[in-house]
This record gives sequence, structure tokens and C-alpha cells, in this order.
Amino acid sequence: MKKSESPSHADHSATAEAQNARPDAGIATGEEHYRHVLEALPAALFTTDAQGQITFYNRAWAELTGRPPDAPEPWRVTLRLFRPDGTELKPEEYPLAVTLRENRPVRGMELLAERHDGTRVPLLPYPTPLYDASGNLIGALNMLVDISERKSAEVQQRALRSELNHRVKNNMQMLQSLLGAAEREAQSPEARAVLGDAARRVGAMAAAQHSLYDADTSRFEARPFVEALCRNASQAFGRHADIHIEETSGVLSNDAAVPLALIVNELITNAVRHGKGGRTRVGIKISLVKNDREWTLSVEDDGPGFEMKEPRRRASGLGLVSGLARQLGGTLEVTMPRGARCVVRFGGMRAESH
Amino acid sequence: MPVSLNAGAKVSSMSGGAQGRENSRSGVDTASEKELEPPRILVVEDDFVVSLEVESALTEAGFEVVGVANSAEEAEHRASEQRPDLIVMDIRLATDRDGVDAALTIFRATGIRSIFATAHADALTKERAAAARPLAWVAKPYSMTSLVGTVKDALSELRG
Repeated sequence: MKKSESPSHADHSATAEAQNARPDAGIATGEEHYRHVLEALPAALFTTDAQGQITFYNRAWAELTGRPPDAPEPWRVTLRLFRPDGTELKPEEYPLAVTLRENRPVRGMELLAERHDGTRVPLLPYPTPLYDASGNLIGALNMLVDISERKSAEVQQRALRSELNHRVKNNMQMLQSLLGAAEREAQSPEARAVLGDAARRVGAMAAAQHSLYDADTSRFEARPFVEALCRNASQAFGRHADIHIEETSGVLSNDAAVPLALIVNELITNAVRHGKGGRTRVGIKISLVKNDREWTLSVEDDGPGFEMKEPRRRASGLGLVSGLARQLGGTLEVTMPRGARCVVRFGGMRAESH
Repeated sequence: MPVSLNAGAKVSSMSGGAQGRENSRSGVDTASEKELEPPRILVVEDDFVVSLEVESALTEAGFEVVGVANSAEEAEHRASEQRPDLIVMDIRLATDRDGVDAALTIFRATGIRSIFATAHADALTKERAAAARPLAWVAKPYSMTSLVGTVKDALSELRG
């Protein structure tokens, strides 16, 4: 409970006397000077004794608390304090009360102070213990910094982010619709197939976009992401595909969202195209799990399998999947346990947040 | 029977493109043969789909894309191995070290200069990159036409 250094009243008078004896001293000292300094301080400041009774306050504090000009001295008022979420603080939770009780400064505690006219001001308080020459706690000072501007900037930034996100989702939706419309109006089967593929790729990217920025701005959870992709695929392929999610785990970096969405879309499309084997629908199992530092994405169908050849194209099919796997710092492996099983393993920096 | 399509950098790639491909050349050319050969370009771009477009546009314009790297380390490796005439360097890469880091290392080791592509060409980045003597700065997203034009201008500058 002791502190070795202390700005005590006794010390100041001694210094003041010494200074006044030398009128040509360059730096002003003395109680009156300090008082002027504190009065001119743009931040609200007050001091209390060890029991929490106010012993001094400056002009900025009087203005903050809404002291009427004709108020009687001493002007002792306690503002009601609230957390940013709106819940009220109990008196023993007030930052200054904590400082006096626990003999330590309190920092970083954002508050809303309710003035007598009912308005609330966002503040950052700086309650700090005061000690005498022997190191005994004799009270505390509290400086209240008005952070209204900072708060309104935060609100503005949140609004802008929300608008941007909304705009991106809308634009992706439009892209998908434009391609879908072009597909319907196309004359040749090849044109329809190509446009259909393009529309589904944009759809997968849109589903990925929707999964972002939920709770975290830099990462997303595997489960809801895979669910969104499967919903998107089910809508695209309807009764042709029976899609089941086997297992999902972990949290991925935003950078992995679009590559994974395109990979999953391509593998599901392949399964629907080649995995029905004479039936009306294909069963597809998908999983995305994290083991230690490595991720494994698996898309498996119950079809007849296929003959693995070097893909001639890189912008679609397994050529695209392969290139995107490489972008994720990973590899693609194809096996045929029952039907076709395509596994993309990736990990490290490109999947985690960096 | 498992078939592995290893998309990592070392194994030969899926297709005729330069993705992850090792393309060795003989070191001896006569002066006239050299002039007839297309300019050789290394592309450094970590977005696979964008890299396909860049490679395609440059190849169609008559250049030889000697490789596509997607990390600073791979870029440095390919540059010293392939000795391209210039590099089209994406600045933001998936790894810790970015395109500017790679360009600096490559320039110091080989003297090969880069055309930088980035969405944020801020003063600090340009300052960092200055020591690598950039050939040009291209703002992302760029059209393939403007990229090809920038490459042609840069090659003229290099030929002197």
C-alpha cells in the first residue's frame, strides 16, 4: 500500500517558497500555477479523498456534469455510469471506487456517463491513486476523456462495412442471375452447358461470401460454410444429387473461402455429371476436417468411378481443382474406393490466418 | 488404385501450361537465334484463376511464359533457374514475404527487373520497391490489354 514517490502538498509548498525567493526563476511553480494548469485542462478532472469524497474538480468536469452556474458550493455530484451495452454499474463497480479499494489505476474501461439532463456521454476514465510522502493512499484523481468522436467514427465504420458487404452480396447475386438468364436464352446445348457451369461457379462464390464476416472479420467456421455450399449445390442440381455432410471441423482463414467453394462446386458438378451411372441421382458425401496443422476436404460419390486421365483443361474440372489446391498450398488425390473419391489436403499459412 | 495429381510445385503439371513446370533451356544461343526467340516472362501471381488469364494473354501476345510462381520463395527459385527477361510480379502473395521482397532478392542476385501489379500502390510500397528498379506499376484489377502493352513497353526499355 505504499509508494515511494509522491506529489505531496508539503513538498509543493517547500518548492514554492524556494521559487518565490528567486523571482527570476524560469519555470513557474507553486500551488497557484498548478491550479491554473488543472483548470485549463481540456479533460474533465477531479480528485477525491481516500473515502471517495470529491476534494477538487476543474472547469471541464463542472461542464461535463452539467453544473448550473448558480449551484451552491461544494458541487458534489455522482453521475450514473453505464457499460457500452447499456447495463448500469453498481457504485462499488465505478472505476474510481475500484481504484480506492484495490489501490491501483484502472485503464481501458469504456463507459457511458448520464448527465443530469439525461444525455449520455461516452467516456474513458483514468482513475489513479494519490499517495503522501510516506506512500500512504490519500485519495485518487480521475480524468475523464470524452470519446464521443471516436465512438461515432466506430459507428460510421461499422455502417460502411455492413453496406459494402451487402453491396458485394447483391452484386454476386446479380452476376449469378445474369448468367442464369443467359443460360436459359442460349440456343445451343453447349452454350447452355457452359453458361450453366459459369452460373454455378458464381453461385458457389456467392455462398462463400455469405459465410464471411459472421462473428470474425478474418476467419470463418468450416461447418456453416460447408452447409452453405451444399445448400447452394442442392438448389443447383435438385433431384439429381443427394448430398450429405459427413464431418466438419475447424476455423479457416478468409483467403481459403473462394478456392474451397470453387473446388467443392467443381467436384460436386463432376459427381453429378459422371457419377449417376444410369440412375436418376448420385449420392455424394462431403467432409472438411482439420487434423493438427493440416486440412482434408473430401468429396466422394457412389457412382461407377472414372478413368483418371491428365486433365486437358485448367479452367474447369479437375484441372481447376488441381490449380486451386495448389493455390491453397495443397494437393489433389483421386481414389476409387467405391465411386470416385477426391481429396484435397492443404494446410499451413494459406489456410490459417496470417 | 490411387492416382495422385500432385499439384505441388515439383511434379509436372496437369496440362500444357507453365503452372509449376520446370522448363530448362540450353545455355548456348547465337545472337541471331536470340533475336528470333520470344521474350521470356516469369509470372508471379497467387490467384490461380487470374494466373490462367495472365498466362494466356501473354502467350497469345507472343511471349513465352517460363513459369508461374505463387510465393516469394518459388519466384526467387524460378527466376534464378529460368532467367526470364522480366517478371510480372503480384505484390500481395499468400506468404509472409511479398512480391517486393522477392523482387529485391531477385534483382540483387540476377539483375532481373519486375513489373509490379497491385491494388494498393501506396508510397511506402513504392519506396520499398525502388531498390529493385521497377519497370512499371500496374493497378489491379488490370485488363489484359493494358498488361500486354505495359510488358511491350518494358521490353523496349530493356532492349535500350
